[in-house]
Amino acid sequence: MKNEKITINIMLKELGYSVLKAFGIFFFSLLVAFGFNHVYSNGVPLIRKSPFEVYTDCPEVMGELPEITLDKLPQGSQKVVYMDARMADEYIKGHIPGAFFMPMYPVDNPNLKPLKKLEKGTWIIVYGSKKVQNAERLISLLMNEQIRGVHILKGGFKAWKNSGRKVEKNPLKYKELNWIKENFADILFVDIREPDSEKKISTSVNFPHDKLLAPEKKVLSALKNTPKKHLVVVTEDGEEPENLKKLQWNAAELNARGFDNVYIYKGEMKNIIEMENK
Amino acid sequence: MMTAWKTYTEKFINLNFHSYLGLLIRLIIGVTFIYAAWPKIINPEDFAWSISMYEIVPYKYIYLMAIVLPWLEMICALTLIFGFWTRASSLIMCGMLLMFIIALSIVIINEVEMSGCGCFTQQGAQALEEHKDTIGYSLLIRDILMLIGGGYVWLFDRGKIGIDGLLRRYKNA
Repeated sequence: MKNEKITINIMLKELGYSVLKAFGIFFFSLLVAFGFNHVYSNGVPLIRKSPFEVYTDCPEVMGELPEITLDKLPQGSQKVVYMDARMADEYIKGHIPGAFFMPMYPVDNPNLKPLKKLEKGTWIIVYGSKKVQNAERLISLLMNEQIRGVHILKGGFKAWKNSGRKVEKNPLKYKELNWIKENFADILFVDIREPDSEKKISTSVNFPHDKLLAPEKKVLSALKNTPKKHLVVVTEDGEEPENLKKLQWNAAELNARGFDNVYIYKGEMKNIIEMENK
Repeated sequence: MMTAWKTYTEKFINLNFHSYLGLLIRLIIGVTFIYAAWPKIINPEDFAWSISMYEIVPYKYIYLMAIVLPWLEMICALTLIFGFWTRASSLIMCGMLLMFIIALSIVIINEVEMSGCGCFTQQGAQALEEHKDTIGYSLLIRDILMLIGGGYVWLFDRGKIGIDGLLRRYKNA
């Protein structure tokens, strides 16, 4: 191999040229990359519209989410919609007045259809309870569904409450056997046991307890369309602490979904069945 | 004194040894990059997801990066192996390696915070721990070694054994 003498000046000159040539390689790579991506069947869009979500036992949300602080919330004539991503039991204890109930169940996604009817330019402010990242999951879902103008409230509901702003509550209501006896004809019973449970009240709808999924639409519509004035949530033995929790959970679920005539019966279901048979 | 330094430096940069060592380094880095780039090229969505895990690039630009970066790796690897614009491609390689080193360092530093969020319990924490030992540090060391190698090629390998050398000989003939 023939040797050619390299001086320091030549070397420096070549190093300098290498920077220019590097730009050449870079732009050539850009052309090849975009060209290949354009024709390749597995190609991706140039801009990603929403963050990646990593679904594990505990869903993590990656990327940047548009955050908004309390002091930057839109004021005056601007249209704002608040969306509460927490579960019903938290929602009924206190929520931002007028907030949509959009719980992010561990498995199921909420129905987003009503949001698509919102006027253009409406601000959507999502809030939740930080510890389970439900607000982050909801905002990612909205962004994936091409819903724009969404922001996450920094600090969640706790920040709203601590700032002394107005809070709305839907407290749970309980009724005794005597009241049930007096209003029996106006009551539709909501049985939270499994559908195959034995001994049912004849005027009852099955609404099984489930913390993972949203309630079935057909059950909700049956409850909505009932001519009965009151809904009473019942189970085998409501006095058992575990059963009472389930009763409260299901009643809260209905309450948060706009049913304001929901009551809990803490006693045993057999008392009602006996009353019905008499 | 200055002239003596210049003479010794020029003697050093004219050593034939640089071409052979440079070729070896070019082959190692080039093959590694081709091996790394190909799966990313055929699966840009997966690569984009991997980029998002680093939480460094804003999500909007993740796809852009997933499209461009593998091809930049592939083209630089090929030019490096064949000795075409050797210095330029090794310079880009060094830039990319520096970027990977910074990204990996951020991930390794952030691991403490990530495992402390309460979400990465059991399998998650275990995976992170494994990641730190088996992938994190070893990858970092591999990238640093390749960066040193790339720097050496940029400074001392003129692509004599390669297309650059052929072109120069053709030009001088």
